[in-house]
Amino acid sequence: MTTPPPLLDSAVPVGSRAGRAFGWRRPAALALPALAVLAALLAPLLAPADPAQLTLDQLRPPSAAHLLGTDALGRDVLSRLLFALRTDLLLMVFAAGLPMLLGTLIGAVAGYRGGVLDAALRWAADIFQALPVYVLLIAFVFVLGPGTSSLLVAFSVLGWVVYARIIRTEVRRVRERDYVSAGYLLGLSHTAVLFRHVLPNALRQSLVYLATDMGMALQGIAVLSFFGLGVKAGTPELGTMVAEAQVFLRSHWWLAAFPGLTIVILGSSIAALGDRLGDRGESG
Amino acid sequence: MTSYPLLEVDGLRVALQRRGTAPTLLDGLSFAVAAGQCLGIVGESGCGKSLTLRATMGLLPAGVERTGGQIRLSHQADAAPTAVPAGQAAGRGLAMVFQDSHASLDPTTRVGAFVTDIVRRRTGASRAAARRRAVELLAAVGVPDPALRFHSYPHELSGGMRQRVAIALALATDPRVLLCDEPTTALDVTLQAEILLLLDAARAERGLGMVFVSHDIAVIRQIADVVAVMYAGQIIEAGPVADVLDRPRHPYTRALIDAVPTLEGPIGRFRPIAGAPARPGRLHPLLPLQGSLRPPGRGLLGRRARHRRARRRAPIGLHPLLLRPLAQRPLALRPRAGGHMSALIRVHSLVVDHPVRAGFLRRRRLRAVDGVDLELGRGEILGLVGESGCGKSTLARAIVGLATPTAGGVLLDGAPVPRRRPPGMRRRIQMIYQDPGSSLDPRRTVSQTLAEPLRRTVPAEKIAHRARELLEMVGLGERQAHALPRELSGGQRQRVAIARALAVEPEVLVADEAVAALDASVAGAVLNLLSDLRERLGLSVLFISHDLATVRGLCDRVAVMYLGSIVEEGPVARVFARPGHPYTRVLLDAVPSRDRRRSGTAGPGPGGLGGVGGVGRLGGEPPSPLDVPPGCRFHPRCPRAAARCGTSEPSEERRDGQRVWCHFAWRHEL
Amino acid sequence: MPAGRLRFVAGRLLQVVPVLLALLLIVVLLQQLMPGDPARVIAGPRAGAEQVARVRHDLGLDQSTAGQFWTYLTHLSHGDLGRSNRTGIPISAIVGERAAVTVWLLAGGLLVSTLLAVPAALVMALRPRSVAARLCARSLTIILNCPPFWVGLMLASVLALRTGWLPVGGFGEDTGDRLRSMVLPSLTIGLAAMPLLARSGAASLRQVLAADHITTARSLGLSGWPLLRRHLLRNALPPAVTLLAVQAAALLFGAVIVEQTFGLPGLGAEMVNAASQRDFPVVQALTLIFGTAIIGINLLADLAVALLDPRTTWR
Repeated sequence: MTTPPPLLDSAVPVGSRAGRAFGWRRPAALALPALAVLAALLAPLLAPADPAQLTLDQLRPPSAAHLLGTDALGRDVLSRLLFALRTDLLLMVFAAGLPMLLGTLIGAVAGYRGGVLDAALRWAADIFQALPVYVLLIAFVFVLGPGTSSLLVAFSVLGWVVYARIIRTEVRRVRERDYVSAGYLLGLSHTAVLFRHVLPNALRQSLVYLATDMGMALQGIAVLSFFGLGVKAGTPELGTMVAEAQVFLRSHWWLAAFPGLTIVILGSSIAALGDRLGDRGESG
Repeated sequence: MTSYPLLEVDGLRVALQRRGTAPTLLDGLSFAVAAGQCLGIVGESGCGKSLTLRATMGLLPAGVERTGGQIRLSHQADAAPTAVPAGQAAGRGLAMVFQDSHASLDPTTRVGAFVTDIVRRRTGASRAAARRRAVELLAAVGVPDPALRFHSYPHELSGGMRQRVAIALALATDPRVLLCDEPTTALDVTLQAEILLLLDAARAERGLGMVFVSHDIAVIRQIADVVAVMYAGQIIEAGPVADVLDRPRHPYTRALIDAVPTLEGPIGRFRPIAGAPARPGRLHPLLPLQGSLRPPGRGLLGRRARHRRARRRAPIGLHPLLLRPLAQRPLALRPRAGGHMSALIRVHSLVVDHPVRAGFLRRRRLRAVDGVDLELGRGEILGLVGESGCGKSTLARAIVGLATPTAGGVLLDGAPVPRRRPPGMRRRIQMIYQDPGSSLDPRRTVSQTLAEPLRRTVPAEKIAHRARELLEMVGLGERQAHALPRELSGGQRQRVAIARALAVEPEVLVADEAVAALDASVAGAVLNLLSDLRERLGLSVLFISHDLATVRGLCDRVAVMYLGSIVEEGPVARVFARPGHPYTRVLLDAVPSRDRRRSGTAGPGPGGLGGVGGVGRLGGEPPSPLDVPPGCRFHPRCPRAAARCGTSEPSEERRDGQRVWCHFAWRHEL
Repeated sequence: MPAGRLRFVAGRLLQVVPVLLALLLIVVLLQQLMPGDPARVIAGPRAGAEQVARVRHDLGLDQSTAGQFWTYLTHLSHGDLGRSNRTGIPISAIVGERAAVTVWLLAGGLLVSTLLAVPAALVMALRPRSVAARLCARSLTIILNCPPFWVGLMLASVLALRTGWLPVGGFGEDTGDRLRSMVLPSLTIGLAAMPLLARSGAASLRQVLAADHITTARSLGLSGWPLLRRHLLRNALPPAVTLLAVQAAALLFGAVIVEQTFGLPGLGAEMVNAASQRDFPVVQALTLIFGTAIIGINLLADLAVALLDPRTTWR
């Protein structure tokens, strides 16, 4: 009967500075990703120039004509950045979303049913944990050949296990709750119990992870492209832009700085969104 | 010679750490304990009684601070107590025993090494001397083979043994005053009696002062000399046990005592206290939160609005003190047993095994239920009692269809139930669970929870109406219909769980420790509800409990389970008045009495508790179901055991509708 | 050693076998995933039919899957990892030459990340509501989302190009140069690995701090160093060790990226180069080596935890 911990946790922000800060931090966390999506969607309208247009205006510093300057081939950096956002956001959503979908389904069914399926999943998860997943990512993309589809296949094949493991643990925890067996006794089928009562209460952890994972996927895509293993050459992409700017680091640092900063801001704001979700952490 | 108290707490105030008006949790608490004296502090959960001990020790949880008051401790006999700074008395004059012995011992430290460490710290003795002292201490608290147990880790010990080690640790600091925070609440009655005995003996031998916090008035009655009743962070009545508990002056104390069911006196309705139990923080008129205790502004818009509504209607103030006892409609006690009604559920030679891993690649089967025969008549309330781990919950799960029988089976209305029950058959038997925190889907409001099972049988437009009817039936109103489970109290949640079960119009309710997590003041109302439902709807109830007094007050018949099988069964009145099995006798004797101190407690000392009746104390702890003794499974602990008990299984003996499986049925009280 | 722990050790060792086999299988079968004819792809677009056939034979692609697996295993048991497609140099020689760089880089990275993560974790666990802790948490989120290759470039731009104190890339000739050339890469990799380390470290410490048994120990008068040593650390260490091992995979990947970015002649850079030049045997061998290293680290960590925590038993 000690004072329950949730009381103490939640007691903190009320009326305090942090509590008031909460009011603006949440929209801020939401605003940045939303802005990025909007910018990506409207890239053709917003971009001041054709991102692929080569000009003789090469390696110009930021100016009124080219807000972020031009690259070695005379292309407008801002325009390339906007179109790169398009590529990366789309890839990011799928590179994190596909494994989540796959992992959630497998993990939920295995965790709820138990038995052979569950044992198989546990075995697979143990093996995957011991494998150099990121290194395999390179190997996979290498084998499948560069390009968006092999990126997504590699991310899905290697990424689903983490989600499956998280969901499985949560499902097994929630499955033991009494309202689950009550639902079964009330006449619901196992499928209905799983999808109506178990899964909704088991999703939080994996959503929190999804937020972090999106940032990691963004970095993964960028790094593979940086190595020349990602998207097709010529497609505007943030990692490729950094790679192309590497040579001019001494004289034109901004060429590498802006695309990198975009990755940092986008990734952090999505992760911050996930942190909020984790903080709320009402357990089910 | 003036004798000073050992410990004085004066005007203790504790509040939440918060800017602005911080809610007060303890409001000017004062008490004193003399050498050899035991102060019992009793109150409902949330009243601040554990916090009092924590504050005295200087071990407040994060986010809570002491805002006033003084703690004075006398370090020498016949010296006036002097003020001690917060936290300075822990281990230096004050020691504490906690409720949950599983979590409260460091899992990575061997118990002997821990005790030795504390002894050395306190006395500065040599390693060898401290070791010897540690073994002595372990022996003194009743750890068998202390030299052997010395090297055990906590997880290798049973619950009762861990609590003994915890007491040894506390005693190793050579305290003046021992603070006990519900040290027996997590234990079975038989173990509870032993630990109480141990604590009482320690107090007497060492002249310790003791503060004993419990929610259980009967336990306080057994161990305390002086009692303080707490309500919402204040002591509202205090005095010698006999005065306060026999002639309470405060109506709340009266109500608190009346709410506890007993093994003595006439059987009547349970007498709960109306309203929700108050919490200290909640009494503060400026407290911005109610109900869920969650800061507003978090979460989605809809929830916030709902939250505001909940806040507005949440009761503030001392309402439970304005006692509004439920109508005391005496229940016409019909002696149902004897001539059996038609059995609605018949369990025949039921066996349930759990596979367990016994080692690397080795599997064994744990026989949780071992050949049980049981009948539940229409409109009957059958109690099922036994110690934890005896298989009663598994039996319940097998009856509702959540556990698969290994052998034997269940007949429902004379027809055998299949292994996989179709939905329609599942609905006929519903279950009420123990943990109010887990029995409702946290994401669904009460009305959503009730609507789901109704959707199959009730036309869409009538669902809302029917849900309201159900809520009314369990004593809840429109205000709770849109609440989320976390906005409800434990008692309200259990009512919703009952309403949900009733939604599918079942014939049987299986209640598995359904009120064990509730305060007696709240549990009574839920129990009365079950009793009323039986009357109104003709429901049959299988009521599983470890609490014999509750079973006596509620049930028509009772079955006693030990290590997977039934050892005695019969009408409540008969079984409780004249138990046929020594185990039943021991269980009954171990229950502390609300109204009188057990015989022989004139002076403090061993033997004052427990050891009553014709049978001695129970030896040892329940054996593991993995290792069932041959013959009568109770014989290793049985005070009456003879040679043949170890070899041949006893057969059934009947007398007046009472069935007993014992070689010495009814012959143990000689 | 108690039977429970002995069983754990035995079980854990046995568990390595299927994992190693799975890794080998993946490594050997990797080329079968290649779209089209792997031999054709590897030999390059300009190769003649004869050359393709030779590649096919060299790689054992004309054998059955089981045959390939077996051949690879036999070669492996003799320490033969195959030869590079591009240069014909035995891969074992490449590995021997380059492994040291990677090991030094990892050691440097581990040092940096520990130095940064431990104070951050302590602040976040011990003073969770302080401004410093909030600041730490925010910074960790941001650092976590900085791509290491970009951080490396930016650090190089600020700390090397502008000042000339440190080399921008490459690996010097003498020891002093080599040490200096390790500074920026170690810093980059340390920064990349630090946020997760700090976060999980703080979480596990917080959990132990809030545990009931710590309250018990304090109620017995323990505080300060004895409490920390006997009860806090002993309970917080096992999760921390597990954590460190889990980070190993991420750390290795960090090494791959950072070596490439800074032009360090380590295994990671070799792998990226091999991958972009379609040098299959090298990718194969390095995947195997990295994988084995991670399996080994995880095994060691689990065994260490088993020694630290008396409750471990084979589930």
